[in-house]
Amino acid sequence: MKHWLTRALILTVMPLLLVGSLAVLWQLKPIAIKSDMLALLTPIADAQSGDKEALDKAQNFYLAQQQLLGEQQKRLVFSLQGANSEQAYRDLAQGLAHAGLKVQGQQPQLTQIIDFYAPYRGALMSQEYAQAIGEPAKFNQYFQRQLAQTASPWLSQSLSQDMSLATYSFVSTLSNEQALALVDGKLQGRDEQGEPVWILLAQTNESVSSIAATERTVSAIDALLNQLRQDHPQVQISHSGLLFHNAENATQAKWEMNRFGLASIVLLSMFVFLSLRGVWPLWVSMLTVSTAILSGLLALLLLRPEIHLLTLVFATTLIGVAIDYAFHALVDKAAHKGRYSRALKRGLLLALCSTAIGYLCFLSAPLVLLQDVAIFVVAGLIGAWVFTRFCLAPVAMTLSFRAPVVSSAERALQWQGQARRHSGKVYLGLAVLCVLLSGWRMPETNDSIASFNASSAELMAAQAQHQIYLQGSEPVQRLLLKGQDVQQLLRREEQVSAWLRQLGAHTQGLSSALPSLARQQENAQAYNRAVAAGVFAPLQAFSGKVIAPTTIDLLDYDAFAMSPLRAAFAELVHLDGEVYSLLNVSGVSAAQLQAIGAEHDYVAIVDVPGQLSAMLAHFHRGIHLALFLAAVAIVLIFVFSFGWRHGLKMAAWLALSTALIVSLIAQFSAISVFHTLGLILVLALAVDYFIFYRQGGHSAHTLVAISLSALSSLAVFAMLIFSKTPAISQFGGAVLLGLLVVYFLAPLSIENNNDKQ
Amino acid sequence: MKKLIVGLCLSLAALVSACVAASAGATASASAEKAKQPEQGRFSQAKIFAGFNQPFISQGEFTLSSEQLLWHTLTPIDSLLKIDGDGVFERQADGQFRRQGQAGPYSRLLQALLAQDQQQLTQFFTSSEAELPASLLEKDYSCQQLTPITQELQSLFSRFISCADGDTRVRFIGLYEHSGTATEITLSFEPGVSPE
Repeated sequence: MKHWLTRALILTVMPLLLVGSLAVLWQLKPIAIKSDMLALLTPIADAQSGDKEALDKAQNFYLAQQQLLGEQQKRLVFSLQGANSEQAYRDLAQGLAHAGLKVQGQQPQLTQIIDFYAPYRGALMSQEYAQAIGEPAKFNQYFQRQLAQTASPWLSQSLSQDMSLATYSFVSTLSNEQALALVDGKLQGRDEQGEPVWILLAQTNESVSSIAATERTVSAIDALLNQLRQDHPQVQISHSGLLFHNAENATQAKWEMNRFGLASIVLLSMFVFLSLRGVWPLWVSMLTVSTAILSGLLALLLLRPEIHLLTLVFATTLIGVAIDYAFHALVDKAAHKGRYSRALKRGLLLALCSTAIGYLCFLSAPLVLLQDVAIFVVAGLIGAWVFTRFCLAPVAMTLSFRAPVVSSAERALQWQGQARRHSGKVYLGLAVLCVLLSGWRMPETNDSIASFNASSAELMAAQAQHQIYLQGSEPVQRLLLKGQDVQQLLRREEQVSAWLRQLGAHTQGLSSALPSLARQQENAQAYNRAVAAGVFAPLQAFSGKVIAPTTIDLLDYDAFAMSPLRAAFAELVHLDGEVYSLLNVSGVSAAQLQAIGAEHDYVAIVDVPGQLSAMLAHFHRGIHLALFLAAVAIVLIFVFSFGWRHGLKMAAWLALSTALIVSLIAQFSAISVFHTLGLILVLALAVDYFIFYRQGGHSAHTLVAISLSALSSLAVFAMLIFSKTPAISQFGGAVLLGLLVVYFLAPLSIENNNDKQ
Repeated sequence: MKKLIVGLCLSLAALVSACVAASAGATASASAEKAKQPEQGRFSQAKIFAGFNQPFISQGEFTLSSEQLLWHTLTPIDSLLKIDGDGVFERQADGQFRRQGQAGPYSRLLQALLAQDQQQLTQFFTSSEAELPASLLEKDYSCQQLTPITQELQSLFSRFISCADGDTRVRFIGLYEHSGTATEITLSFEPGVSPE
C-alpha cells in the first residue's frame, strides 16, 4: 500500500505542480480566449500588402461590418403555410414574445412617411422626376401619367401637401421591387405554387455565439413550435436563422463528443490492457497526456495575452504525439526489468527534438494562430518528455507484456524482415503509384467555410427558401462604404449606386431614404428653375393651385434620425473618426462588385462566407510553408543523428509516405486545411516511428510501442471520420489513411541488419 | 430587413393601383367566365382629387379574359397595363412589359377579382347592397358596396362601389379614399374593340 502511494505521489507531483502554476498564473494574468473566426482575417491584409494602412483599413472595415451585421445575425425567420396559418402566426408571435424574443412590430404608416417627407418639397425627388422637370413637354407627360393611374394612395396622400408631385415621386420610387407583401401588418410571400406563406421575423436578445444561451432559446422555440404543430396540424412551419444552425451544430458536436469520446476511452483502455498487464500503464498514459496539455497551456499563459479557440482545436494533435512517449517508456520498462534502455533515452530525446523543431517552424507562419499552436505543442512535448524521462523513470513498477502480444510481435517482425528484402521494389512501385494517382486526379485544395457546417438538410432548405421569400430569387450582395462624415458617406453611396445602376443593378441604402445635402441642393435648384421656366404651368392650371419655389431647409441626418424610417435606414457605424453603412445590391455579378471594391478604398465587399474561406485558405498556405520548413529541419536531424546514408533514406521514406497520403486523399476529395492538419499529426507520429525503428527496429517491444501508438491515434483521431461535420471528418479521414500508410512503411526505412549497425 | 419592410410599405401604392385596376374589370368577369370569350370594351375614368378644380379624365380600352386583363389608357396619355396570374406589368417605351413592384404576391387577389372568386374576395372585402351613385340614377343597375377588411386596404379606402347591369356585367366601379380622392370608372362593352 505504501509502495503504491509513493509511486502515485511521484507520478502526480509534476501534473499537480503544473495545475498549481496555472491557477496562480491565471489569477495574476487571465488570458482571453477568442472565438471570433473573422478576427483571424486581419493578418491577411497585412501579409498581402505588408502595409500598415491596409491592415488598419481591413480592421476597421471588419469591425464596422461586425457591428452592422451583429443585429442581423440575431434574426430568426419563421414561415407558416396552410389552412389556419394566420391563427398559427398570431399564436407563434405571442409565444415568441412570451419566450423573451423580440417580434417584428407594426411598420410605419403611409401617411406618417408622407407627412415626414412633404416639408422638404423640391429637395427630394426621384431621378425620373428630376429628368422630367428639365423640359415642359416631358413633365406634362409625367404628371398626366401619374394622375391617370386608377388609384395611387401615395399620390392622393401627398398631393394635398405637395402639388408638384416631387414628394410623390420620391416616396413612390423608394418602393422598388419586393418579393413580400404586407397583409394586415404581416409579411406575406408566395411559394412556387403561388400559395400564400406568412413570414414572421423575430430577434433573439442573447448573443448567438453563446452556446448555453443558444440552447436555452432554441429549446423554448422548439417547445413552442411543437405545441403549434399540435394545435394547428394543417400548418407547415419552417424556421431559419444563425441561432438554429449554432444549436444544431452544438447538439451534433455534443452527441459526437459523447459517443466518440466514450468509444475512444474504451478502445484505448482495451489496447493498453491487452498489451500490458496491470492498471498502471493506463494511468501513466493519462498522466503523460495531462502533463503535456498542462505544460502547453502554461506556456501560452506565460507568453500570450490572448488565444484563439481554434488554437486549442488544432493543438489537440499534441495528445496523439505525447501519448507515444508514455507507450515507448512503458514498453521499454517492461522489456528491461523496470529500467529505461539507452536506446529509449536517445530515441525519446531525438523524437522530442525532431517534432519540436518541426512545430517550431510554425513560428515563421504569418498567422498568430499557427504560432500559438507551435508554442502549445512544443511546450507540451517538453512537458511529456520531462515527465516520462524524469518522473516515470525512477518509479519502480513491474510491467510485463501479455504472451499473445509478444508472439504476435515476433511474427510481425519476421514479416517485416521479409518485406525489407524488397524495400527497393516497394519504394519504386509506390512512387509510380503516387505518380499514377496524381495523374488520375491531381490534388486540389478546397478551403470552403462550408466544411464547418453540420446543419441538417431540412434547416438548409428552409434557409434557402426564406432567402427567396425575403430577397427574391435574385441574390442580394452587400457593400460596406465609409466616409469621413455622414454627408461624404451619402455622396459616395450615391456615386456607387449610380455606377451600379449603369450596370443594370438595383441598390438600396441610406441614401435611398436620405439623399445627400449636395444632391438635395441640386434638386432644389432644378426645381426652382422649373418653377421659373413655367414647367409646372399645365399642372397648376389643372389643379387651380400655385406651385411656389422651394425655400425650406434641407433634410439632414439629425432630422432623418427622428423620422418614422429611422429604424429602417439609419444604421450607421462611427468608428475611428469615420462613418460606415451598408448598401444592398442586386442584379450585378460578384466580379463587377469586386472591381468597384478594388478601385475605391472606401468600398469593401461584405461576403462573410467568402471572407472566412479566404481566411482558411490563407491559413492553409501558411501551414504549407511551415510544413516545408519543418520537413527540412527533420531531414537535417535525421542526417545529423543517423548519418547521411540512413538519414537520407529515412527522409526518402518519409517523403514517399507524405506523397502517398496526399495522392490517396486526393482520390476522395479536394484537400482542405483539415486534411493538412491531420497530415501534420501523422507526420509528427511518423517521425517518431522512424526514429524508434532506427533505434531498435528489430525489438518486439519497439513494435509493440509503435503499434500501441498507432492504435491509440486511430482510436482517438481516426474515429472522427464518422463525424457529420465535414471539417472533423476530413481530419479523421486524413489521420486514418495517413496512419495506415506510415505504420506499414516505417519499418521499411531501416535495414535488416539495422540493430547491428 | 427593416429596409425591405419599409420598402414593402412604401410600395403599397403599386399594389393598390394594381388591385384597383383589376377591380375595374373584376366584377365583369362573371359574364366573361360564362361566355368563355374575352370581353372587350371602353372605359372612362374620372379622378377627383381633393382640393382640385376639376376631375382628371382618362379614357381607354380594356380586354378581359379568364387569364388576364389589359387596361389600355389612350387619352390623355398612352399607357398599357397587363394584369395576370404573375402580377401587374406596365408596358415600357421599348414595348417590353415591366413588372410593377409589389403586385406579384397579390396576383391571386387580382385573379380572384377578375374571376369573381367570392371565396377569395371575402378574404379582403365584405359586400353589401348599395344605392346607385347620383350620376347613374337613370340607369337600371344594381350596386354593391365592397368594404375592405384587411388593414392595408382599410387604411387607404373607405369603400368600393361596383354596379352591374341586367346582364350582370359591371358598368361602374367607384373607389373612395379616406383622403377625399375618388375614382369613378364607367365601363361599356363593345365587341370587336382591339386593345392594342
